[in-house]
This record gives sequence, C-alpha cells and structure tokens, in this order.
Amino acid sequence: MYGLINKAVEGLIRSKFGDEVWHRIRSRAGVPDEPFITSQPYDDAVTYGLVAAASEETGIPVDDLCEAYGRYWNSVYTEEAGYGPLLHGAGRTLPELLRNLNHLHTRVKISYSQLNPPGFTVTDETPRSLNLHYYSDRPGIAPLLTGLLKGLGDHFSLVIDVTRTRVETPAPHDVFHLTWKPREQAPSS
Amino acid sequence: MIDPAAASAHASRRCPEVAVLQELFPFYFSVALSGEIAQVGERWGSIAPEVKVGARFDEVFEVDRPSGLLGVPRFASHADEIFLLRLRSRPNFWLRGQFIPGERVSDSSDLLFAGGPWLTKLKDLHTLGLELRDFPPHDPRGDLLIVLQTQESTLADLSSLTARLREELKHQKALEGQLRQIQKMELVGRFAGGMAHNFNNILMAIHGYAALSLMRLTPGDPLREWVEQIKSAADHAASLTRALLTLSRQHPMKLMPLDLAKELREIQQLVMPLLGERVRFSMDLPPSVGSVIADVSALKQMMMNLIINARDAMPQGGSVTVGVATRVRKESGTDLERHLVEVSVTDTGVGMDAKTKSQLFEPFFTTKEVGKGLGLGLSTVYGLMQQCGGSIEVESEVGKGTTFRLLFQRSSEAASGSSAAARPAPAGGGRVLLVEDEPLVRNLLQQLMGRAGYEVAVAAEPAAALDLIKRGEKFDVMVTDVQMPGMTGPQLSAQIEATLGPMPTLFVSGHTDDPVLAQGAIAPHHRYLQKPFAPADMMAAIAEIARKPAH
Repeated sequence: MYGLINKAVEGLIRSKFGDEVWHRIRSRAGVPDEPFITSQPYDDAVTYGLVAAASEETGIPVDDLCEAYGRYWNSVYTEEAGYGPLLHGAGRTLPELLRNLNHLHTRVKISYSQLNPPGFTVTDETPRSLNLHYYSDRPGIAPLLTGLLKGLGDHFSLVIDVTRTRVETPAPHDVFHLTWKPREQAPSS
Repeated sequence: MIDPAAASAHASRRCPEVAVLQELFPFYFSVALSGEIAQVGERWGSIAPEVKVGARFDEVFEVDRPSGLLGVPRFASHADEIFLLRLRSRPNFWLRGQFIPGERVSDSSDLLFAGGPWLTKLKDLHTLGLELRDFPPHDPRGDLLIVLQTQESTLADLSSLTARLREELKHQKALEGQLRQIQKMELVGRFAGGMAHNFNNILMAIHGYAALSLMRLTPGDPLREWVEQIKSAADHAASLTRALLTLSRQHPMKLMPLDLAKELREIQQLVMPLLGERVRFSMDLPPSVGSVIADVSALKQMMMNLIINARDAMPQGGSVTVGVATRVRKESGTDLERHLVEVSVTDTGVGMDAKTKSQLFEPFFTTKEVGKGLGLGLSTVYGLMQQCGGSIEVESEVGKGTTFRLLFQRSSEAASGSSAAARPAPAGGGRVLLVEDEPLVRNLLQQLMGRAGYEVAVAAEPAAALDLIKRGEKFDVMVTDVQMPGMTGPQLSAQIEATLGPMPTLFVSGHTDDPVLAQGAIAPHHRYLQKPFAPADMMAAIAEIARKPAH
C-alpha cells in the first residue's frame, strides 16, 4: 500500500493515543522511526503489521480499529492531506458519491500508478437506503469500509447504519446495506 | 451586433454542436470579431455572471498570453497557441485554452474559446468556487491537480525526512566531536600515565639528591642557591607531570586551606627567572589575603601557566601584574553569599579576539608557533579550577592585553602550612624494608632513611622482599614502590600481611592506576606518597604509621 495509507494509520494512532503509544506500536511492528513517504509503495505487511500491533498495544479488536481508521480517513485525514476536494467533487449526495466511487478511484490511480483499488456497484437504491457491493483482492479490509462509510456520514451530516453480508455468487464479494437519516434527527443519547 | 435574446434562445435550443461543447468544455464561449461575446457555457452563470452574451470580451477578460494582442480579430492568427486569460473581476481566476477561428468549424466568423479554468493546487478549487467535476472525464486537468497534490505531499514528506536526517547528522557530528575529545583525553592520559611513572622516578632522584646536598651545604655556601634552583626545576617538572595527569583526570586533588600570600610569593620566586629582561613583574597583595581552598600543586601549576602565557603574549616585552582581591557573590536563585578570593594575572600583551577567546580552554588549542606550545596550558588551568571548586574568567582586547581571573573559595580556616621542605625530617628508629626496582630511587631512599636513623634492608624486587620475610627477618615498616615487575606493591603487602598480619607500609609511586591508592582509601596503617616527594614528607609518613598500632 502507498505511504498515504500508512500515514493515516500513524495519524489515527497519534491523535487517539499519543506519540508515545505510536512509537511503541511502530517498534512492535518493526517499522523504522522515519516519516512515511506519501507516494512510495510499501509492502502490505507494513500496514497489516501496524494494525495488528496497535490492536495488541491498545487491546482494541482489529475490526474496531479498522472501523475507527475508516472514519478517521474520511472525516479527518483526507482533508488534512489536501485531498478534500477529491471527496467533495465525487458527489453532492451520499448515493451520488457512492455511485462515483469507481470514478474517484480511477482519478486516484492516475497519481498512484501501482494502486490496486477495489470495485464498487450500487443496487437496490431507495431514498433512505442502498446496497453497496464491494469487490477487493485484499483480505480483511471489509471492516475498514464500514468505518469509511460511517465517516461519509460525518461528511454529509447523516447518521448511517451499515450491515455487512458476505456473498459468494456470482462472484465472492461483500455487500454493505446502508440506511441513513439526517444527523439532526438522530437521538441525542 | 448580436441580439442577446436571440443568442440565448439559440443556445437554449441546444443544437447538437452546442450540446457537445457544453459537455466537453463547460467554460466555453465564443466571441465575435466585433469583440462582443456571442455564446457562453452554462457554468459561467454561477461562476462569473458577467461572462454573458453581449458583454464585451475586453471588459470581462484580460489576455495574459500571448502578450501584446490588440483586438479580437488578431486572435485568429494565434489559433495554434495557448491562450491564458484572466477574469478582470477575479484576477486569480485563470483560463487556459485556445481560440478556434469559426471558419475552421462552421460558416461563422466568431472565435470559439475551447478551454477551462487553470489552477495548480487542488485546494484552490474551493477558493475559486469550482469542483473537480468541472473538469469532464476527458479533461486531464482534474487528474493533474491530484498528481500535483500527491507530489506536494511527497515533497513535504521528503522535506520532513531531510530535516530529520539533518538533525540526526548534526547529532552524530556532535557525538563524533565528543568521541574525538574523549579519545584525545585518553591518549593524553595513556601518554601521561606511561611517562609519569618513569619520569617521576627520575625527578625523585634529582629532587632527593638536591635535598641531600642541601643538608650537607653550610648556610652561606655559594652552591646552595644553585642546588635550590635544581630542586625548584625538579618541582616544576613534577608539577607539569601532575598537570598532564590532572588533565587526563588521573591525578587526585588534595583540597585544603592554603595561605595564598605565602604560596604566591613562592610562585614569584619560581617564575622570576623565567620571565626575561623585557618583562616587568609586579605583585599586588593586600595586607590580609587569608586562605583559599585549593590544591597546592594545582595553584602553582595554574599560576605558572598563566604567567608564562602572559610572557609569551608580550614578545616585545611589557608587564605582568598578579593581583588579589576579595569578592562576594550571591548564589543564583538564593540569598546565600559566597565569599571568594580573586587572583588575577594581567598582561599588556597582544590580547585576543572573540574567536580565540571562545576556543581558549579547548585542549590542544594554541596560538603559539609549532613546537612552542602543546595547547594544554589553559585547558589544564580550566580543569584544575573546576576541580578546586572555583572558576576562571577572562577579559581581553586585541592590542590592549589580557586579564585572567581565578576565583577561589575563601577559607575560614587558617592554612596548615603546606611546604614540607621547611619541616625538619622527624628522627626515626627501627627496621625498614625498602622494596624498589629503580636503582636511582632505591639508593636515594636508602640514604635518606639511613640518615634519619632507620636500619634499612633493601630488595630490588618483590620476590627478594618475600625471601627476606621467609628467612624470618623482622621489620617495623615497609616502604615499597607500587608498579614493579612480577607483582605490585599492594599485592606484595597483601601477601606479607596474609602471613604476618598487618604491616605498616608506605607505598610510593611515580604514577598508579590503582584506584584505591590513588583515592587514598587505604588501611589505617598504610600511606601513599606520589613521587617526587620531599624527604620530610616521607619521614613524616613513616613516623606516623610506625607509631600507629597496626592491629
């Protein structure tokens, strides 16, 4: 994965747990103490190792960390890293953005030539729900997508519920069923 | 003149050509040769409403490139060039594109602008009211913005990495500097340690035989002054050795109250012959100088170094003044007062610039010619003052001279009198076992102890001493060198005491690596003297341990 992804992992850990914990996690994962380079491809093992080490260090399950990462990516990191307009330009509404995910990833691949982006299709659309079909070669990333989708809720001021189902036919993939409502209507618990 | 209403109606009909233009170039427009805008893309309505049908091109746009074009009709001759336009209402809103002459695509003479907004930073989209979708899929400018953003992020990462590496390099260089300094000091230490043992044995002989000679000479003998000078020179050489050991932190300090006036007068006697005829020396001692806390050898060494440096700073001659003053300083952050005594050495020499002053106390830094100074003098003074619990200050101006100020702690105790040479050697009695491998020193010590009334048995090596013990010889005191072939003095002592029990022993050495001896943390019936020492000091030490019950 590109350094961009690992920088976001680092940003999430530093912001949630502090610099000291980041260095412990980095050290546990065997990652050297040097800045990640945004456009440099890194072995996927670096990212997986960081997530595993973060889970061991903090006691937070990997799936929960992935979800937190997804939210952080869309709510904080994209803007901080200067890619906010990419997200804003992908759609004015949640369904429009989700329908444009393939286009968005194509734009990104032009910059990151070794990117191996997932594929998306949208089905069963209603004014308050849809199914997002997610096709990826990478194992274990699906929980991250749950976080990414919830992070989009922050972007559009929506409360989004996401349920994931694994489907094996016609091709193995994950289906994310999304339902949403405007944020101001959410119960203030 | 184009009728705006008609043009708008024409546009709204969305003929296929216009629809294609709208899809491919949302920011297109056409302009008539008269300079009036004839057609506009729909996106202009929300971005810059002044770009409308009927508006004059020159009033809405400024042509930045190609430069020097006057009038729309000239645009056609630059149809194969890139045009950079700016909105007059928003000078940071640039357009990049080309003007296509109408006759190339239709029967109109209007010029068609095919292009769109031009920017190089993704984040500027928002500022300009644009979105990424304003660049249709065929238009690579949207992707270019992402490429540039990625490059900018990467540059920022590399810049951060470079800063980190630069910092690490700086740190590494500092560590290397420290390592070099440590290696230098270790080298000095090894050199000093190796030299001190043999050199101090030689000095012991010179000093001791000079002392013996003085005992034989009558008070009025003309040779007496010369022998005194030999003894002083040996003292000075010994202090140089000690300075080297101090610099390499191998020489323990003995801090005690010193009678400053008395010590300074002795120093004056030592340096006067070394100053030459061109240098005037004066000393300004107040009536009651009092005592300071210092090591007597260190004080002499420091003053010698400063005065000789002052002499060397005045190649054409001048004056050196030694002054003494008292000072009271408040401890920083407290009301506590420190009572200090300042000893100053002032010369009227060449002085120093700021750069020289900043390096003054670094080991091996010298402004003297090659072969005239090792650059250890002032670094030794600095180290000695620190070990004395004091500090050093310097004031200098090029061409006007230099003043060094040594700040000692004032002592409330009276000085005990450090000059051993003045003390009479205590008379002795009893048997002494002398173990010394250096014949010069062995003979000297034998004579000194013999003259003091001791019966001395000599052994040239530890094995010979053990033979004497095994043969049942009895001794009241053992005087032994420390570093000898086969066995050290402390090992010999331990072996003898393992058989006979505690034996009063005086260890003498030119230099020892033994930390216990060097720090004086030894048994009550043991003493340690570093060579060269005054005969009276040795006799006093022997008398002291001989009197002490060993058990």
